[in-house]
Amino acid sequence: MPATAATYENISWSPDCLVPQGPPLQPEISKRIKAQYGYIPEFASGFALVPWLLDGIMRFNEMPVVHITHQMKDMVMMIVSQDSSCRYCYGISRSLLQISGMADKQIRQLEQDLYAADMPIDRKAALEYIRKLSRANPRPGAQEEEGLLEAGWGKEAVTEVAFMAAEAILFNRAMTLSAAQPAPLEGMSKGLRGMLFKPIMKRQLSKRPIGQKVPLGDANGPYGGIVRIADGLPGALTFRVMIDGAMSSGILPRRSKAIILAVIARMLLCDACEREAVRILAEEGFSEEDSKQMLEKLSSPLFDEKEAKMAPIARHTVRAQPAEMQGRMNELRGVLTPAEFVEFIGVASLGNALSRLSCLLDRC
Amino acid sequence: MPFIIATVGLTVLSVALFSMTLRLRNRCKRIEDTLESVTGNLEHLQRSFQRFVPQDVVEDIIHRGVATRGERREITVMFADLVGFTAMSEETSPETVVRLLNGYFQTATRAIAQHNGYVSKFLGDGFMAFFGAPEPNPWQETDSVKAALALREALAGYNETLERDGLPPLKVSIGLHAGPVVAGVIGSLELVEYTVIGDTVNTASRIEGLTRKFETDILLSQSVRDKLDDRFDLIQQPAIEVKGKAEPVHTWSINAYRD
Repeated sequence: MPATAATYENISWSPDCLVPQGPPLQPEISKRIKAQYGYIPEFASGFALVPWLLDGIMRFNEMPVVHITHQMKDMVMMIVSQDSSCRYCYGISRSLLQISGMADKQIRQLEQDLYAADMPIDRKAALEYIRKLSRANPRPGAQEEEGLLEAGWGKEAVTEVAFMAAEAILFNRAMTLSAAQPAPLEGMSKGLRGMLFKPIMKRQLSKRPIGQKVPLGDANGPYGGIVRIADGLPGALTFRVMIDGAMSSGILPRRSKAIILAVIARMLLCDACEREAVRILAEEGFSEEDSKQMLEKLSSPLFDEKEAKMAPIARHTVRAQPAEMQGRMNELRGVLTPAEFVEFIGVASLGNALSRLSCLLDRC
Repeated sequence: MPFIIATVGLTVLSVALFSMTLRLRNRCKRIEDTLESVTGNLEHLQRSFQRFVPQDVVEDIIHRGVATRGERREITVMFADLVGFTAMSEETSPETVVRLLNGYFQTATRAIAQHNGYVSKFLGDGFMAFFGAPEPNPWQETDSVKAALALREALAGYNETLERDGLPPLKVSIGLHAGPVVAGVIGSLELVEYTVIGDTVNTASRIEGLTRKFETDILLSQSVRDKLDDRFDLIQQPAIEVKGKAEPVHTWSINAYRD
């Protein structure tokens, strides 16, 4: 069933977080999480079973903006989250916009009808672009990017907006596949609590960092071609660290991760990401013919029991509605260890982000 | 005295202004509430419409007033028909006919949707569904056959319910074919639908018709067969001439799927 852009009320969501509880968090990690969220979310200890995933999430939360504003970043998150029907991210990003001073009427306009929303043309053009990137049916190409440049955006700012959208997709998938429960922040901007806390929170939000360019350093490694496009932006470095962490962790076999990434790339018709995943599979012993057959049939005699389950479920992380995705994730819980289950969430989320982001390669 | 008159006058004016302001605010609030309610209804309509038409197309229609998009795609088309239902319906009360059909369509639609298919239209006691549109699906052929098998199984369950109610069982015939189509929102201003047209659609319909000849419930074409792995237990049928096709058509029936 095709995904539809949702409003708050009609997103069907699991009432329970699916992420298993991990061991108690180390004090410095607890402190870092509380600094970002104000509390310890239910999924945090489970995510700590996969250090590269938790570290990546926190890096993205702390990431400064360079060419765009934080309000633009929040709008990108809200539009993408609404489109993905991610109850968790939608709630948080909407609340952040309210707290930082955006009028309810303007937020509602964004939700209901982006085309008619009362905002500058360049901002509207950017939000339409990132919604196309999120839907990836098809992904925006050089022509759409040209439209942004004509609307007054610089090339680096366009890259940053695209990376913000990809980051939002990554968060959306991680929170949806986890069935993360709505954050307390959602209610903080309303009623008496809002009156008391909103000014304090608004001041805190205004201190979010605006950064300088950060060189990527060693741009080689898996998916280097995509990450290199944003060399200089903090998002590129974070994606590089996450990809390297994912590929070198000893939780799921590297081969299994490449299978997940290849399936998602095929589902999103992303040739560049599929080629990269197949290259990794070749290093892990899959011949070109093995990979071809595997992707055509979504099965392989070379699969182990866990891969036979993960490969078909990976495709459903791309476009399915949350209720279906969470139902499929329940099937996986009986097959994978807790750490493997969380790592599947991380790799699938990364794959969804990268296979959309590769549209920037069209400009190369 | 003038001071008292001026004070009273100002007081009366203030009260009048305050009262007018209050009335205007209440009126604005009522207008806002009405707008909010209308917007909510429109949103609900838009979401409902999105069940039948892709989201991008809905937005196209809203903002440009007409669906301008048509596209060529490779999809898999399914035709499903209830065997002998027309004859049965002539001997059954209208209420029972409607009840039977709605129960069957509910069952069938669920089986199709669970396998990433899209029921495009109901045609009397049959329907057309497709896989690979509105959104691309690299495994549409496999999904379509799994959907057909799921429909077979779901119908067996529905027939048990009918038997308990003293009603005759239903029998379905399904045809599957993959190939190129033109997809888009087609129709007039009064009635539109998201659908597909082309030779692939006609061929799928012909293959469904061939199920009677081969005495089977599910038939798939070579183009679907080529994309299936060997977990599908298939039986090749003799090549057969089909109206409108220059070459004989090769089809396969299916026993089961080994998971």
